[in-house]
Amino acid sequence: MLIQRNDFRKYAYLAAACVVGYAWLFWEYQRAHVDGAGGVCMIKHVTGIPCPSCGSTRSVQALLHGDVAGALWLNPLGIVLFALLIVLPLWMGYDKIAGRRSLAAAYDAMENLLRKPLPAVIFALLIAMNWVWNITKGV
Amino acid sequence: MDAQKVDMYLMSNTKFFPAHQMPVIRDRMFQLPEEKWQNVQFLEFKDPTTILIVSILAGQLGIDRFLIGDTGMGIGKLLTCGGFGIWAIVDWFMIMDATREKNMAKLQMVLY
Repeated sequence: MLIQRNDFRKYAYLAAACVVGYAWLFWEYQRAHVDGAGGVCMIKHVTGIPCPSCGSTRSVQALLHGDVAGALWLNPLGIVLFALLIVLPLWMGYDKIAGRRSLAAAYDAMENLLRKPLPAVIFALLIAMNWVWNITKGV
Repeated sequence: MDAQKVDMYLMSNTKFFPAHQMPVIRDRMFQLPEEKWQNVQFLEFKDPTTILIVSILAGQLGIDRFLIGDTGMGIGKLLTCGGFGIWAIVDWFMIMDATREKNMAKLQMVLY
């Protein structure tokens, strides 16, 4: 019972994240002709310094135009997000149809992995490197 | 467990748990065998106030969610500039309850 309820929360969270992600992309696509200076990042607005994931919207947009190098340059995390936006809905659909909880299991495995010191340090280092790169290139 | 010990424990740890769960915790602790009591006493919990401070200062990067063990949500916040800035603000109000729920889950592992 408890496990099932937690699973539901995970699926709801991931589904909401995908819906918001697509809605955000569509919104940006709609107003692309207005001007390029979008951005809701509070860190960037308050301090003037970009956060680790600043530029990922532009990165995903570059990918949609087939510009992989540009996407990599803007923010490599954009590629991760792009992959997630494609894979997650398909995976959720598969779980729903097959009646399995493979996505929830993968989510748990990922959380447990990142609770271990070494993977967590590597993850934090990658994010920090991306952040430094973001600041130096002024995304 | 005897009532005095349980009540002492609950009095000094009230802030860690959701208020609506307190009667359940209390009942459950009365039925707890003596040898398990040690495990309960040595559990460490996250202080909701500390997490709130972290959330206000570094919530944009999802650090608050990472700290309470919601790694998946932490990554979600980190990769989207704090959920487009909105989730970070929503979490200023949600994170204390989320912390208490996480503490509760941790306590339940020992109690059941």
